[in-house]
Amino acid sequence: MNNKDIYNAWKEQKHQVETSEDFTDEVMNQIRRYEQNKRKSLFDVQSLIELMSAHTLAKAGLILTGGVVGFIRVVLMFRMVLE
Amino acid sequence: MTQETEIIRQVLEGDIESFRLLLARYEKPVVRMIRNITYDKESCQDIAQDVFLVAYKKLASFDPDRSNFSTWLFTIAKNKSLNALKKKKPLLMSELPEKSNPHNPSDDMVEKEFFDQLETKLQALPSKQRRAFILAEFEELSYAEIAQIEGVRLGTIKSRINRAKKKLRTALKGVWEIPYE
Repeated sequence: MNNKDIYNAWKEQKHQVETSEDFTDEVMNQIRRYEQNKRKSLFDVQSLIELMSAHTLAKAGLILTGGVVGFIRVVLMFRMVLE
Repeated sequence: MTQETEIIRQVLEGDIESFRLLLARYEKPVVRMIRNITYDKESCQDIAQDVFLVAYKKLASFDPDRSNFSTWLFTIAKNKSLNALKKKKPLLMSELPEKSNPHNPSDDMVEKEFFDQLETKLQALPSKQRRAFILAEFEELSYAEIAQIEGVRLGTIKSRINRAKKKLRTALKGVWEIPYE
């Protein structure tokens, strides 16, 4: 075997992969469980975080709201101190 | 609209079973990519299952105008592989993949020797170079796809792959030469 054959054999070996027969079913079961839990507790913290993290606009809105609330709090604090 | 985009639309509209089509298409490439990055034959399937679950959960955030589905999925797989590597103990030589496809005993010896050397030298590469090399050579992804997965410029990927090949060639000089493209 020349170098190229050996290199290709190595690549071929790295390319081979075996997956278990129930791989797809296992993933689909996990997805179904996830969907069931989501329906059960649509408004729990975990779902809310996942929902927020999946939508860029929701994330931006949350950050903006946090910023505004923080700013108002600081302004109110200064006003109280100055009065 | 591509067939994949259509499948994704169906899944997002509530047809969970359509996700099987994406699983069937990407199951092996994802498992292979994780195995080649982590060298972990035992847990690569668990990590891959996790990758598909995350992909399902975040499917709404996939933007077909920004990347291919495969690139998006491989990015998740890369991140999961890196997280798994952080948690994992250092690799032992005995954990390296075994050779296959025997031809004859003398060929076996030569192959085994070269494969072992290649694996050792590959592992010794800096992780970013090794990953780029693996994605290009074993996964046969385009440089543009790898650049998207790694979140760097195309030139950076070309440079990483060239450096990886150069280091492998230098390390194995006199014993073996990596064929040029």
